[in-house]
Amino acid sequence: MNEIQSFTRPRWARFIMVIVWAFLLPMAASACPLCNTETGQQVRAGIFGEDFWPTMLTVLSPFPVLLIVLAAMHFCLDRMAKRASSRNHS
Amino acid sequence: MSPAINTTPLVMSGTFMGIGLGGFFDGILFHQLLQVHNMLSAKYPKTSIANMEINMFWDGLFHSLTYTMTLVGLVLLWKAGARRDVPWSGKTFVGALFLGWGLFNFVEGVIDHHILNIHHVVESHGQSVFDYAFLASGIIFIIGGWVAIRSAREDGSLPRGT
Repeated sequence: MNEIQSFTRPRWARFIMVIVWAFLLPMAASACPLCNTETGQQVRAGIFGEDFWPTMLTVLSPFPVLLIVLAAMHFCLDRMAKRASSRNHS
Repeated sequence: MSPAINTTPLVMSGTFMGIGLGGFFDGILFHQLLQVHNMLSAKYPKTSIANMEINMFWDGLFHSLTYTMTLVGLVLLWKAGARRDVPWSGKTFVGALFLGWGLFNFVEGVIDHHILNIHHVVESHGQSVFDYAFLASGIIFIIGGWVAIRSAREDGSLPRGT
């Protein structure tokens, strides 16, 4: 049993090292918003600058309009269905 | 007595899903495959890695909302499927999908391409015939979808409870 444990511990350690390196190596070379590089900093500054909230509002603006259209559509369809059903009953 | 037909739940679920899938279609075709524009490509032209990454972030945010719309549509579809007064009509559902897709193209086209000018269909051309074609596709899909929904209703599809 001890033999197995002493064998598996280094393997686990190696596995963890591979995982850590797999995460760290791309960060050194890439430009994602979380990356600690010059380009990464530019990306962060571009996204989370002072116009972050106005940009967010701009990008998401079609959705409230679509939701209003959907609400109006639901209201109209419901009224049409009720009118049709009362016509069928009378 | 047969229960009254109610197509509203099916139409609403299809329209939500149509909006969501229309958003994904736009993102996959124009942003990723053809790469003719991104969410803020008029403000951040794709001339540097940083600008491309900034656009990618806002693309992602936009698509998380199209994902939400699709998910809401799926939940509504599931609920509609459990109701016996809702006719299970493929024509109604496909019509609603096109109605939603058309609504997406029209509303997104008017707001983003014409009012806010945050991007255009083919960014290198600026505001061009492609933006108007995009709006026209929205109107055609809305009309086509509505016609399909109406014709399904006139087909006399019966609710499953009958």
